[in-house]
Amino acid sequence: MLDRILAAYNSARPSADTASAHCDGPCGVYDPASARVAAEAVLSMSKKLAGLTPPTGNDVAAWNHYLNHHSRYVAIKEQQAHLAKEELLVLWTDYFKPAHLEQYPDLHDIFWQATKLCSACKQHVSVESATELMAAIEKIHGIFWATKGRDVPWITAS
Amino acid sequence: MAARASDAASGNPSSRLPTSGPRAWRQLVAWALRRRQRVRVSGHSMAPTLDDGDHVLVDLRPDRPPAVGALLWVRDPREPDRRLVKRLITVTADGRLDLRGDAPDDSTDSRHFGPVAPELVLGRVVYRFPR
Repeated sequence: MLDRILAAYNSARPSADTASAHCDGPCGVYDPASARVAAEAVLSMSKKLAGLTPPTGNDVAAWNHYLNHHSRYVAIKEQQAHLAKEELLVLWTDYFKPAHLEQYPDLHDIFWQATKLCSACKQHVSVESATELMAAIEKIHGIFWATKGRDVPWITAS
Repeated sequence: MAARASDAASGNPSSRLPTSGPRAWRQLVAWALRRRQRVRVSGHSMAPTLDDGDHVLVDLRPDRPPAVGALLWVRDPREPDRRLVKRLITVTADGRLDLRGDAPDDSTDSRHFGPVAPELVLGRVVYRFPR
């Protein structure tokens, strides 16, 4: 009874004095999954490029077919590697806080290496770098969900 | 050793807010005697302890220095007209207060603006009104 009176009083006459319990930033929704999906595309394109066989002879159609596929794989690899880098940078600079760094002192190095691997994937056709990038993102996935106190399994699309 | 915020949130009795029983009655009587200030919480950084739209009573002249785990009503060190509610998690060696939100992902606190001077404390949250 008293509870209802008090609750009704507070909603009828909300106090003008406030206690702000806000987060100043736009409260982002973060998930390393977006970096992982981009990195998976990079790995897939790198494997496809490594598996391409150039045509023999001078058949224009065959060369067009080959070059068209080659260009598309390179373009997608470039674009997705850049996207993976951006997604990682957002996590690093926006999600992670100094308190996390205390808990994970090698956090900066992990992100630095991961974003450098994104560059390596652009510069070369390297299944090895793409695989290392996936491993780095898996590590970040583990740290990210640990900071949220959640046990989220690492699942890949392919 | 200083208690961490998680201990406080999970049941350090000194930091749990009464919502019923004699401890709650004491605060309501003090409010009736104009010795407590009614304050409205806005935002989610103190969830689940306090949530957006909750009303609380603040003791403006607590008889003892704030204890670790206490919920404090403080001036925002970056913007004096703005008042914050955060939990005291440690007192630093130089006597400043390390404040955190109970919902760290949704909170701007000492992780961003550093530990605050004790002079910025306006009072201690002692009661939460029924929702």
